[in-house]
Amino acid sequence: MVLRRSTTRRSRSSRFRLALLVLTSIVLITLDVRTEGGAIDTARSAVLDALGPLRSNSTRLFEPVGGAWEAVTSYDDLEAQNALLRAKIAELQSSVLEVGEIERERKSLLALLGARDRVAQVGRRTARVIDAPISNYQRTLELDKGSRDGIAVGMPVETGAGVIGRISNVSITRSQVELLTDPNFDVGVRMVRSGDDGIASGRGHNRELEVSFIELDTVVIPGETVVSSGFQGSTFPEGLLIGTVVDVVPNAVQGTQRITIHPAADLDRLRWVQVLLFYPDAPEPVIVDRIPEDEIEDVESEGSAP
Amino acid sequence: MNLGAIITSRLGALFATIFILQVSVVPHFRLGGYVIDLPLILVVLVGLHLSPQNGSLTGFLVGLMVDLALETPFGMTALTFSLIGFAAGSTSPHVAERNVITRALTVALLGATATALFAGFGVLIGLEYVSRRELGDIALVTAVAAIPIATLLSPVVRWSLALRSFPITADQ
Repeated sequence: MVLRRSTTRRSRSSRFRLALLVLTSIVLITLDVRTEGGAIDTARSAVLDALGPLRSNSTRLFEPVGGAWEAVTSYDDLEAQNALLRAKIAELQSSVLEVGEIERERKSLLALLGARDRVAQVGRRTARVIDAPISNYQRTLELDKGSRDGIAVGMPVETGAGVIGRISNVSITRSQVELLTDPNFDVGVRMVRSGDDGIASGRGHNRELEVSFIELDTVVIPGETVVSSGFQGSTFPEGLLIGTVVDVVPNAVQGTQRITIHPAADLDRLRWVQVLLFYPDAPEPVIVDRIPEDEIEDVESEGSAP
Repeated sequence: MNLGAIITSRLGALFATIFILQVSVVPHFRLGGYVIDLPLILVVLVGLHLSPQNGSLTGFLVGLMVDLALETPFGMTALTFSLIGFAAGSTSPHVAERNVITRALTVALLGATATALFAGFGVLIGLEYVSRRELGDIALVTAVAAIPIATLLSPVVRWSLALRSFPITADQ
């Protein structure tokens, strides 16, 4: 009888302690979600700085071995991906000429209008991806450049193919990129054909982005290009390539369309990226930042590697 | 140094080592494209030998440490790990001292449950991190990886907790 009472008391006590821990966790989650730039962000930046050298060295050390491991564990996936990439190359080769023509046309139109190509004049900082996400629920990459290189939270990050995300956390020497497939990610976008603006949001790993707030009467077709809209105060300048439309579903109840877009940039196996040193409130575009020569050599050797 | 302090310092060193391995080495050795969650597996394995309240406290502290390195809302891993540590502690009298296979299978089951819990909390606060299919894949990868890892880590955990091994015979 005494033993049973003691066991019940212990069980109640452990449940009470669990409830306290759960409550503390919920308070911490709420604080983190509701506030920006607080003590939690500072602590995370410190951890990012502390782990940075270790992570970049381990990447150098384990990347070749990890590649071999991946080849063994995902051979079928790699084969399918290889076939897909071959098909994509063939498709891209046919569209390269077309794109060149469109670019020339766009530049001549900008010249005629006397407008400045703001995206082209925004400074860029080339950064190396030093590590992949450490969790299955995280859509971030870590870069080897930080606040001392002029990088700030919110800046867009792209490859030659298009936007890959935005800077979500910066320490002195490192920064983290929130990929555009992250559920937290959203950006103002413009449908190139109609000029209508909407909001593109991430939907999770290996999933397309969803554009909302496009009205029912706007004609949107699959294959249409979607770029950033660059609303006033947006951390993205106007005209950055986000992706192409793959699906359009009208929603008569809300009077809008649910548009699915495929990111233009390949988010897998990123090695080098460019951070756009874009300051939304800057009166003039920031002067183009020069990439150090040794980094250019690194990029070239990376690009020429088989 | 008393036994409690020895156990705490050994556990601290073990979790710190596993955390460093998780952030530096594990992401390069993915299984089916997914990252194996070493701290989660260790929390469950340690929790099996602890009381529910110590299991949940261990899970909470390790979760906070992991949260510092992640971009997901701070406290989500702590919440998941404290619940799963509590669950592991609650099952401890039944499985902790059984054979290695039973222990490894329990770790696999609880590990898979924890991945579902984490994704579920994400959905509750409006962050759908993974699709249902991916969640199934992640839970499967966690469970599959947990079996050999739990088997390998078992002696280290027993040393950390200063437990003595003794065979369980049929008449016990």
